[in-house]
Amino acid sequence: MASVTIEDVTKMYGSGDGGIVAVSDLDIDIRDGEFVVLVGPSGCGKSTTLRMVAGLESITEGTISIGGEVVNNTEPRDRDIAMVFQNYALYPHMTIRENIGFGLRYSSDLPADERNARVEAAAETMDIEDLLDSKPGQLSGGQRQRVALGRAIVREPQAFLFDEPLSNLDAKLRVKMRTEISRLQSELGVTSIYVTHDQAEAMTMGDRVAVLDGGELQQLAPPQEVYDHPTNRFVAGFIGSPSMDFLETTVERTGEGRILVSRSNETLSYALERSTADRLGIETGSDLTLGVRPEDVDVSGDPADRDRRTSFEATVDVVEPMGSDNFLTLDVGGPESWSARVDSSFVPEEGSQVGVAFDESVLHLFAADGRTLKSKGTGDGSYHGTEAIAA
Amino acid sequence: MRVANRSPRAVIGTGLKYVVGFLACVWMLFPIYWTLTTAFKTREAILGSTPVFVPTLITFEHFRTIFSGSVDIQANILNSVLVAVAAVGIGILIGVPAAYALSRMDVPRKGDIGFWILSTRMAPPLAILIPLVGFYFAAGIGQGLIGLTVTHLLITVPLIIWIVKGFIDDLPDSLEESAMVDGCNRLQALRTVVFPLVAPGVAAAAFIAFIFSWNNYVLALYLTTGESATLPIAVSNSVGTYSIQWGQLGAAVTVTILPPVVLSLLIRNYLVAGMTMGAVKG
Amino acid sequence: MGAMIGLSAITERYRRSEQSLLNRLEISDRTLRWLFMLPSIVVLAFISIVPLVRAVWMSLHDWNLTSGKGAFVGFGNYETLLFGNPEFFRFEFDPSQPFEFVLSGSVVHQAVYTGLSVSIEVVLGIALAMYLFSLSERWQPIVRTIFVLPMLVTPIATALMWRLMIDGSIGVINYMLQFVGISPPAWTSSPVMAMLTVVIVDVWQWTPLVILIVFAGLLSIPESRYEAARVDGAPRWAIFRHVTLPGIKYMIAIALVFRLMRSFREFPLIEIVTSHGPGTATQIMNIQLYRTVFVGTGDAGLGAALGIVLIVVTVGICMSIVRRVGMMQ
Repeated sequence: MASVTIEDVTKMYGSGDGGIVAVSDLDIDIRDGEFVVLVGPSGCGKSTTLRMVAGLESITEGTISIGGEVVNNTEPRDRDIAMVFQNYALYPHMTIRENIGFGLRYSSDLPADERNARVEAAAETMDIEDLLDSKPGQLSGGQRQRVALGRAIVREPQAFLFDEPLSNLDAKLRVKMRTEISRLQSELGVTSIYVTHDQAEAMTMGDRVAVLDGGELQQLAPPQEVYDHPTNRFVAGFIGSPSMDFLETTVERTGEGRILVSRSNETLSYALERSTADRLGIETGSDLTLGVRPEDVDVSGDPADRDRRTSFEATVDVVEPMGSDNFLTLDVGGPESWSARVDSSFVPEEGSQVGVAFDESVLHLFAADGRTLKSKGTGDGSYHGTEAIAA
Repeated sequence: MRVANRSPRAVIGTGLKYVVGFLACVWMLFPIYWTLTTAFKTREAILGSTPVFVPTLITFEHFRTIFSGSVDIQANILNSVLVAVAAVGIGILIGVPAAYALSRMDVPRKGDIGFWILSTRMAPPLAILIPLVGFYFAAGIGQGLIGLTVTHLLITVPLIIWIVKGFIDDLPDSLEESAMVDGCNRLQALRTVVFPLVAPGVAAAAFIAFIFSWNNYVLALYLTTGESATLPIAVSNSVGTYSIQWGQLGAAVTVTILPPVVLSLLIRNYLVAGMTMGAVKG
Repeated sequence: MGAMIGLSAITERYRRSEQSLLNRLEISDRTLRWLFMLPSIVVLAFISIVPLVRAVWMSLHDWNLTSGKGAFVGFGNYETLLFGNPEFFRFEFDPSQPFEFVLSGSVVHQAVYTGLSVSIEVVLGIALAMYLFSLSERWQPIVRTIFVLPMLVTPIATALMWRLMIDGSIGVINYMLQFVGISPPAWTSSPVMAMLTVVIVDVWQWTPLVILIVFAGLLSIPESRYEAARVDGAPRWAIFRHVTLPGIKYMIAIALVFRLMRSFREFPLIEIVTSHGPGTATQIMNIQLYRTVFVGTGDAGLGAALGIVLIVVTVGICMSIVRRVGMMQ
């Protein structure tokens, strides 16, 4: 196994002024045996990055190393990697046995009987021994997925590359395969890079998550850290479902403290402790984005029994019972609707008025340029400190 | 649904549908039927004052005549096969790699090259033939099968490139990429993954190109003489010189249309793609 | 095991392993793409661009097929063709007798022949494709095969078949017409009828191509679109107008391109059925080109000029449709 290092990598399509930058100055260091998930909206450069690691795309600038060796000019076949494709890329004219053995046939000089033994071992691991002599066309989506994984593990490569491997499966199977891939990866301990647009996969599977947007790395951290302490507004909004509630505000001074007033609705405001404001260096008149996770929003039926300074009224638009809890869609009077996650026993009527409150400790604050000033659980200052980490 | 429940309008509609269908089928089939039966009719049945729609007396005399008798078209068949096989073979050899490059590889000005190849197929070949004939004479080939084969590349190469390109376009890129990650270089990925999967498409392209080459008349009309004449030339020459031997004509036509019809029916699922150079998927 | 081996060791193993020759060939994609493209480009250049350039060159000279190059005449051949060649274009009009004029020449014949046959084929082809589409699964494959057959017949054979059927003495069509009390027309001996005859033969041969293409288009229209229109209460003509027609527009354009392309270069159907006659009444441009160069005096200069005109017209019309409908992308 090996580490994978992506250093200052830039990918441009076309050249000159008409060129399109797909990946810009990317730095990701993946440790030996680590599982890193690349996540981001479509067009963020995550697949391009994976394909550069695989050698299927050329690298415009920077270097990619596998096991300490720069592989920029190494052919895909000489990189000793295995890749699982979104559409599985099973060879339709070959049996499952031939499919799984394909890589061994061309990338190793094992004798035929040993190859076959390894194919069967891989098939056993993936629980597809019965399918070895069928053709891909006869298999269900889930079975094809297993074959694709079998084809990767049989190689015992330096690294696994996954390109949205679960996106063609139905929801239930997706969850099942998610745990299966995680289990497989930790058992085999093979360095893995996993590309997905699904933040649930990112949260559950990776040792670390790399969030990309517009070809740039936004944050690289363990999932919980990305969730609790996003480096900027984009990451905060992208990770989490339902996504974080935001309010665009301007800082105003009141007698003893600072108050964040919605830029679109002056009656909407949230008071901030003066000490907090001072610690974070928040200046009066600056623009701030307030953010709070739906599960941290405290909703109560009676708007009156609240501290009016740290709460506001909202109208319940939709109630979605999820079984274990309820998702509320709220109109707080700003341009963006809010979500709240409440106990399943709390079922307000749609259209009714409720009170919405949240403690300063759960608050996220983002500067006008998107960088995080304060994240959850860090009442006495920003988790990230004052230095901007956002790219 | 029971018949009793049908409205009179629906009954008339259905009836009309059958009539239209029947007439259309007769229109399509009758000329072929008539010619095929003529090939097997006796002279008397052909020349009689009342046409014989269903021949009861069948003779193979006309086929004997055209194969071994006074007309002998065997050499012409051989010429046609030679030219078509050579033009298709070369076409496959140079056209399939070009199709792959146009479909998959980073070829500069790919779109323009593709359009140019397409346009060579659009240009009426006779206009091109005038200067080509000059080249052939200068090269010492003159009129004959070599010149004809080279000219037929104008038919087969663009056809094969565009049809095969269409089939490769339909293949997911990830198949070759997977093969290349799994230890193949591009050529090996081509051999193990791409070629087996586009083989039916290549066969379809080869058959279509063969048919177009086989059917071609106008190029051979000038480029072949006497014993180098291809089948369409020989068949058309048998008409009009003196009184037409209709039975022999029917037999010759039958022999001429047999290969294209059989080949087309073999690749019926690819026929639309073939006839439209891949622009329409069947 | 294999996992313990570093990259360099793997590469080393490659060198020593008994891989197939193909896999040991190290050719970069940059080289390979040209290895793949060049043979076709060279061959097509030799048999299309080089001759085309030379054809332009020839069209600017007095040029005889046998005696070769003569004097440079500039656009003389084109002038002769357009203004001094009644076989190409002839228009005689006497204002005192406005109803008696002469309009003929291969350009006119081409317009009539192509215009008439291609429009009939497109209309008939759409109708029959829709008919085929409406058939049950049991009949559709059979009827489809029947509807395709004429297209598969070698054109020269088609022409001979029709000669057999319209022959003055043994023609079965004449017999059938007489049987229902119609006197047979002069199929190939009157100028107007001869043109109609070749149009009929062309329609017989090539309507199937339009059927096949349009039928593929009909198959590609998702069923749900018809269902949506039916749920919306659209009458049949509206379904045709707003669902079927938009769904096959692209296919109709493709059919048109391939029909036009063939029609401009038609040769055997006409030459065998009517021998471009009577006189030159069914002589289209391609036939005039052949006869100018390869029959008679061998005026290759004039023929080349005619060829250039024909290429410009054909490729121009076809490419403009191709580019407009964005086909072949």
